[in-house]
Amino acid sequence: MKLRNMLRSLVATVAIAAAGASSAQTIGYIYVGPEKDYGYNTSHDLGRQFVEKSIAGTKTLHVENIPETAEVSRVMERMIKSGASIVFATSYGYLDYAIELGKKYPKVAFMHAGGLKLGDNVGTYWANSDDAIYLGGMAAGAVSKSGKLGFIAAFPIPQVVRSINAFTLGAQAVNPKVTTTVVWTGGWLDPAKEAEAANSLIDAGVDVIGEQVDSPITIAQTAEKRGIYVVGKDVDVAKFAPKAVLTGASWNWGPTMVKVVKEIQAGTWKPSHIRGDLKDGTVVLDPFGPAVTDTVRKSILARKADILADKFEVWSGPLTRQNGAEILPAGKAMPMEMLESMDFFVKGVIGTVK
Amino acid sequence: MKSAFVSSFAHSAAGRLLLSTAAFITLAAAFFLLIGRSPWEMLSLLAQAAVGDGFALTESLVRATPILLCALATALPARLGLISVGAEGQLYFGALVGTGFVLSATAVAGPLQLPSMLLAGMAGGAAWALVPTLLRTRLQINETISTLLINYVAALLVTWVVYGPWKNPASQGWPATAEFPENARLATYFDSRVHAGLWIGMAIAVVAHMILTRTRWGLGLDVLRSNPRAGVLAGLRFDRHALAVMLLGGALAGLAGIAETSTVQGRLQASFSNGAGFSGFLVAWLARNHCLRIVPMAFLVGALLAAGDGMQMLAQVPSSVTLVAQGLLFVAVLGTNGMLDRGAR
Repeated sequence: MKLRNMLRSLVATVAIAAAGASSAQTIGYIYVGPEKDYGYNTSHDLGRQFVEKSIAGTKTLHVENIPETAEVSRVMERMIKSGASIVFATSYGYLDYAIELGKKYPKVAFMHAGGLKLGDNVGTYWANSDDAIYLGGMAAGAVSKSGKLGFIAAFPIPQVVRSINAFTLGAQAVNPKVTTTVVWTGGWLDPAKEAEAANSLIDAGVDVIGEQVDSPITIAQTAEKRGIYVVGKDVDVAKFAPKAVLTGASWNWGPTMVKVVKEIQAGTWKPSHIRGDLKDGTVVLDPFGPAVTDTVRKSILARKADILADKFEVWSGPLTRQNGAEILPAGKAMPMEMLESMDFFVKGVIGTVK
Repeated sequence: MKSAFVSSFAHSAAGRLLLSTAAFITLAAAFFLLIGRSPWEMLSLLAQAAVGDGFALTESLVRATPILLCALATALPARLGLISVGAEGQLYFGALVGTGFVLSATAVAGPLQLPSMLLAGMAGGAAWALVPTLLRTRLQINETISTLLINYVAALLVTWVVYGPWKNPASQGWPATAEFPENARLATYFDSRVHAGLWIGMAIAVVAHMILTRTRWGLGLDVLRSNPRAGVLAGLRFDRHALAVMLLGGALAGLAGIAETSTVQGRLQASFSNGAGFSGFLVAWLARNHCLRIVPMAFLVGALLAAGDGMQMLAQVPSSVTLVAQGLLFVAVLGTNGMLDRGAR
C-alpha cells in the first residue's frame, strides 16, 4: 500500500514537471552569486519577480551561484529541457556559452546582461548608472563635513572608473574642494575586505563612502555603526542602514525585462543591445536618507530634472585629469570611445587606475 | 550463521555501497525534514536532477569524468602510502601546458594535433607532480602539505596567462584564451557533452587495477606501503616507486585538465575546474583507493554535483541546501565505512 502511494506521488511529481515543460511561457534566470546578496544578483531577481507578476501565466525558473564556466551551459540547457523558451544569463562571463548554446537551440531566446556580442537569438541589456551616481555624489559632497570622500570598488574596469569619476564630479558640483580616496578590493563579493576598507577610510577622516562592489550592504552597515554615510548602488539597502544611506543608484530591470519578454512572445523581437539609463527608468535615484537636508534635496532634484531634459550632461568639459592635464575643454561632450574605455581619474580622485 | 552472513555481506563492496546509500538517504531525509520540506519529494527531485532523463544522465557523466581521472591520480600514490592532494594543481598545470601546445604549435595540425595535445597535458600534470615528489624523496618534506600548497600556484598561473599573455583579443576583455580548434577536441557522444575522456578514464581504471593487483610491481607497492623495512630488505627502492606513482598520477590529472579545457570548456580560463581535483581526492578515499570502486563512486559524486542546479530549479531551494546534501553524502560514506572497519577490528 505504502509503496503504491509512493509510486503514485512520484508519477504525480513527474506529471507536474512535464506539464510545466509544455508551457510556452517559462523563463529561466541564472545568477553568478547568491540571489539574496542585496546587490547585483538581487536586482536581477527583483526583475524576475516583476516579470512573473506583470505577465499573467508566466512561470520563472531561477538558479544561483553558477560560475562563469561551462557549468552555465548545463544550467541553461536544463532550463530549456524544463520548458524555458527565454533564458536571462545575468553575468558577463556567460556570454560565449549563451551564444554557443543558442546555435543548438535556435528557437530559444537568450538575454545577456552587459555583453557586446549578439547571436541570431542572443540579445543583451544593460543600463548606464553614471547620471544617478553623479546625483548621489552631490548628496555626498553636501553632507560631508571633512570634505574627504571614499570609494570602495572591485576592479579598475572602465565601468567602475566611470562611477568613481561621476561620483567625484557630482560632489565637486556642490563642494569644489572635496577629494575621493579609492580603495580596490579585488573582488566583487568580499565582505571582510569591504568592511576593512570602510573602517580604514573612516579612520582616515572620510565621512561619506561610495561603492561599486556586488552589494552595498556590508559598507552601509559598517557606516551605520561608525556614524558616517554611504551612497549605494544596485539595490537600495536603506532598511538595513536607515541613518547611513544618503541615496543610491539602483537598477530597475523589471520594465526592460517585461518589454523584451512581451516582444519575444509576440514574435517581434530582434536581438539587439538594449541600453537604459536614468531617463528611461532602468536606473533609479533611491529615496533620500534623513541626513540629506531639504535644500540639498531640492538642488539634486533640480539637477536631475536638467539631466532628464537634456539640459545637463555629466560627461562634458571642462574636465581635467588628476595631474591637472585637460581631458575636455569647456562645453565639449566626451566621445563615446573615451567614455567606454575610461582609464583615467578626474582631478580630486586620490588613487591609481591599475 | 545468519549474523556471520549479514556481517560478511555488510563488509563486501556491494554491502558497503548499499549501507552508505541507506545512511545518506536517512541523513538527507532528516535534513530535509529539518528545513520543512518533504524528504520524499526532495529525494525524488534530487534523483530526477541527477539521473532523471538522458540529459541529466549525460551531464552527470560529464561532471564525473575529470573527477574519475583525478581520483585515480590520488589512488595511485596512495597505494604506496603517499597522501597526495595535488590532483587539482596537476589538472590546472596539465591544462596550461596542453593549451600552450595548441596555441603555439599550430604546425602540428591534422590528426596528430589531438594526441599530441593530450600528451602535452599529461606531461604538464606529471611535471607538476615532480616537484613534491623530489621534495619528499630527497628532503623528506611531507607530500600532503607540498602537493596541497602548489595547487594554488598552478591555479594562479592559469589565471595569470588568461588575464595576460594568452588573453584572446577578440573576447572583449573576458579573461580566456582563444577557442580550441575543432580537431583539438575529443569526440563527443549522444548529442551531449559526454566525451572520450570518460572511456579513457574507465579503461585506465581497469588497467590500473590489473597492474596494482596482478603484477610484481603492484605487489612491491603494497609491500613498501605496509612494511617499508621488509620492502627495502627485498631490494625495493622507495624513491623510484614514489617517482613512478606520483608522475603517473600527475599525468592522469593533467589529462583530466586538458580534456576538460579543450572539449567541455572550449578555451582555457581561470577557475575552470570547479574543484574536480579535490572531489577526486574525496572519491579516492571514499572508494578506499580501489581503482575499480572509484568508477561508480566518481559517478555518484559527479551526479550529485551536477544535480545541484537542477535541485535548486526544481525544488526551489537555495544553493546552500544542495551543498549540504552533497556534504551529507561524504559524511554518510566515510562514516559507514569507518564504523564497519572499527567493527571488523
